[in-house]
Amino acid sequence: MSAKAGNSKYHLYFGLFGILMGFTIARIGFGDYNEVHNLFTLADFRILLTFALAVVVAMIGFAVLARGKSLPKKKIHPGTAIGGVLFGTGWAVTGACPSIALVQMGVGYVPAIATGVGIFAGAYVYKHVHARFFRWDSGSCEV
Amino acid sequence: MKLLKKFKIPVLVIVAMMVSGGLAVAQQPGSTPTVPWLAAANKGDAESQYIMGNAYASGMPALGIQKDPKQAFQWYMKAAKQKHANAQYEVAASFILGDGVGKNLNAARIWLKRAADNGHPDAGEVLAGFPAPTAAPAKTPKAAKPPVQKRQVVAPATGDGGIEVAGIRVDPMSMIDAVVNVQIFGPYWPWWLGGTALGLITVSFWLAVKTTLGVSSSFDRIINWREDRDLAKVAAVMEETPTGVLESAMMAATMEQFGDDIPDDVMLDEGGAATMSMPMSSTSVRVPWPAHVTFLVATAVGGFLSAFASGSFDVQMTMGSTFERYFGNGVLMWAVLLVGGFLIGFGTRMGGGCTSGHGLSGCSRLQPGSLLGTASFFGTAIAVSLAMEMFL
Repeated sequence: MSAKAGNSKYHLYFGLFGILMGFTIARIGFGDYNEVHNLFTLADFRILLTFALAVVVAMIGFAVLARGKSLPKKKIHPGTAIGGVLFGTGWAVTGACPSIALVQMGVGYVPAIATGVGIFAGAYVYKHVHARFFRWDSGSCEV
Repeated sequence: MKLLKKFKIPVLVIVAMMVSGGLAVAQQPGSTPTVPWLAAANKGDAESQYIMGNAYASGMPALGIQKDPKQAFQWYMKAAKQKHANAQYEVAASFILGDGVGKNLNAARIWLKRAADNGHPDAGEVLAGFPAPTAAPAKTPKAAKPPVQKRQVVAPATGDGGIEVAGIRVDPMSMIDAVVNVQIFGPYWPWWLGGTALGLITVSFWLAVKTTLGVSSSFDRIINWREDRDLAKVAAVMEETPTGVLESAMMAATMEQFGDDIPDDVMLDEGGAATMSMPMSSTSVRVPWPAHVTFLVATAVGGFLSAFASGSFDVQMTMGSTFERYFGNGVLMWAVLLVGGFLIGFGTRMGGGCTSGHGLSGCSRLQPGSLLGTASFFGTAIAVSLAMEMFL
């Protein structure tokens, strides 16, 4: 397989899965600030149930299909909990996680572009801060 | 692979058409009459949206609004999604009458149920008479601001197709209709449907690309595109150069660095070339970074398709009614989103994953880092949201 054909295969797969995922997230109502706020104020358990079921379905899928295969490990390191606190705060305030921000844009919320810019900026700054100060082994979480 | 290469252009063309179609829809001229409720309705105020629906349902020529059942339905639907009881009743009425939307009795029943649950006085009564061929009471809109021509809501007649199973009339066509219109393109999915879809996507993504799903990683990989490019260059050079040349070049560099007095045990023997070969990453495939750009763009396109298909696509300069209640729609909104976005970007990279990487693909494999990370961001989000509700 030539490198170029390999690339277009990735574009096709990533494009397909991106559309599927964005569609599903929007249909769940994850891109709707009202719904997300209802989730986090525990006013409505629909999305929480959705997420729990997704984990269970994926768990069964991985258990059956990925047995004996080596998949990326997610280790605990000093940044795991602190990073979660920062991300959780950002999510509660903006209603977005990295994929939801994109779905919000697609659904028509123009200001979500600011969230997207913020995510890029945050990830960029972290890259340098990490290289300069932390250097934790965050495991292979690369796609 | 040749086949995929062939289809690359058509796929791009289709995506471009979808995007331009969306822009065209967004700029439709018909949707900008100067109506006092329009601004509030666009900002997500349910009552104003309901009034807009009424205005389009009966037409208000004085304000430049022509009667337009489709527009009326869209506005009613927006208000209905925000649990506006009268609007939910109107949506049901539209489905019963086929007014501005395809006739769909099952959809009507679902919206009638919601309207009744939200305390609409007549919905329960109409629902009880469903689908017996009795005339339901005409609806009476609560806010009589625009004069509303009352639509006669008549519960549909039975007997037009369908089969009776154990005393219950089942119409397969209308049931398929209900699934397609209400469950797939209508309001938000029930938990069992959304959860199953999301779980299957997580697993099949890994099956297809041999890497686990993780959106914050995609952001990261795009930021690190330069490193990617350099790695690709090195890989290309390595591939082109015969192993012997590499070996002698490395040896020459080593000699230059340390001189001739290299101890014997460091010198490679004849078989050393084998152990010297580049260790190729076997746990995960390194996907070229432009594919991650495709991924992020496609995610937004997926969101657009969903909104477009359900008729709720709407370009707006706010983040919805709840967000507005906390942070308004001006400078504060933009500042909060930027800072919040920064926290998301910084936090997800620091924690090593986001909702998809930790929450879905990590938790489902019981990875300790993912379990802690997910507990951390979910817990914090709940605490911060409750605090917002209490103090803001």
